[in-house]
Amino acid sequence: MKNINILVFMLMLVMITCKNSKKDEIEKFQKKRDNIINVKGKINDLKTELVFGYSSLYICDNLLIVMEMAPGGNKGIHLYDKNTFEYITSSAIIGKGPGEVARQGGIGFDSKDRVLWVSDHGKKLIWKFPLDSILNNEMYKPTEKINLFDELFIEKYGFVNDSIAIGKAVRIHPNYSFDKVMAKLNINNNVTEEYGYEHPEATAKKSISVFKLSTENNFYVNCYFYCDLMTICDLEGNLKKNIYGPGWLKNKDNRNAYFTEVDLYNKYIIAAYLGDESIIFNENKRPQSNLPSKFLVFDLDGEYQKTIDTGHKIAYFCIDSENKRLIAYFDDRENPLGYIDLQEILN
Amino acid sequence: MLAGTLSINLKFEKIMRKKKKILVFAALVAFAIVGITNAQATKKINPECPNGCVACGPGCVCNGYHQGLLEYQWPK
Repeated sequence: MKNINILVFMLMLVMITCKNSKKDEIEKFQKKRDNIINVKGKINDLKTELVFGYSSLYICDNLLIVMEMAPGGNKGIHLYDKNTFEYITSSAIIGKGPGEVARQGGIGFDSKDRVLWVSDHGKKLIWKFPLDSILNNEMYKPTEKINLFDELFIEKYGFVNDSIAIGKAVRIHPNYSFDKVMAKLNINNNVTEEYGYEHPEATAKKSISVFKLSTENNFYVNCYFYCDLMTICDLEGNLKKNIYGPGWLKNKDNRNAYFTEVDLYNKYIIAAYLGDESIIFNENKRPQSNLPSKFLVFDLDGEYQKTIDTGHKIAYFCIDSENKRLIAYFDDRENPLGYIDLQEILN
Repeated sequence: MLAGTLSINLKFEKIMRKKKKILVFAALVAFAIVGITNAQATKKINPECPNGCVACGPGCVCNGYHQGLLEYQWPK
């Protein structure tokens, strides 16, 4: 009898240990991220004739796409050859007329059909811009569109195939606050539905994150703005990893910001990281966003690899994997566009 | 003579009463207009974003959604 009791106790101990080790594999806490590489002198200027303000950057096909957040000219999207940085054309005519973009948002690229889907938050729709139409007609105005609804509309996304896009969607509440959830959009019938894992602590404002999809590696990553958290999930929406940084659970009043952008390069996840107050005051005592100057590099399991310190404020960035370049829009450089050669830094 | 003065006084009082009524009515209309305007203005304000948005951020709702902006917060 005594032997049976000991056996049962041992069995329970083994089961508890197994359960905990599985949990430890999923939940990872990183207190130190101090493998820092300084690349301040290694930023290559990307000089363009066009002058533009804050712009988000995308690599689509052989193109570098510069999308102005508040267009100064009559077009909001500028296309460059990603290999040579030669200017090709501009598109997305700004305006309130038919086929014009009132207030542009993000871009989703369907690589199979070579289509740019451009959000227009002024008209609450996503415009369809076939790449060939833009390249052949500089005054191209889209006619096809899908409507966006305040209840749930996709914002940052990637295409799993030519009809399904997954990404982060915005939910605007009746009191005009908002949160973000993972969602799936069927572009054929314009049905957006929630899906996939959500971290239980990342609710309300803390749910805001940046998103990147990798169909090659069968996963997507969310890096959170108001939480020091990165979640990695498979394409079915199942959690693979929760990666917690040193600021986890230290931002109760949402004054600090952590991840501002994320992209992928070969076997790495690269994310712009602030870890400081999100709003600061400039020399004229005017409030402005506090921007990060460093990138955190993780492997595809979320293991921290290194920190790339640029010494400059990063507003937006994208990665050109073919040319092994990280292209960024810097806020405090004379030439805001510049790139870093990743081959030297990440083998 | 006295009757003439009295009738003038009565007329003056009537005019004054009318003026008062018009003024009260005008004030009520003005208050109502201001009230409606204020109600319309406050209806669109996002309680989480009473001071608008600043450049560069993960999104901001202030009279519609603005991608790439950040909700402003008062300093501590």
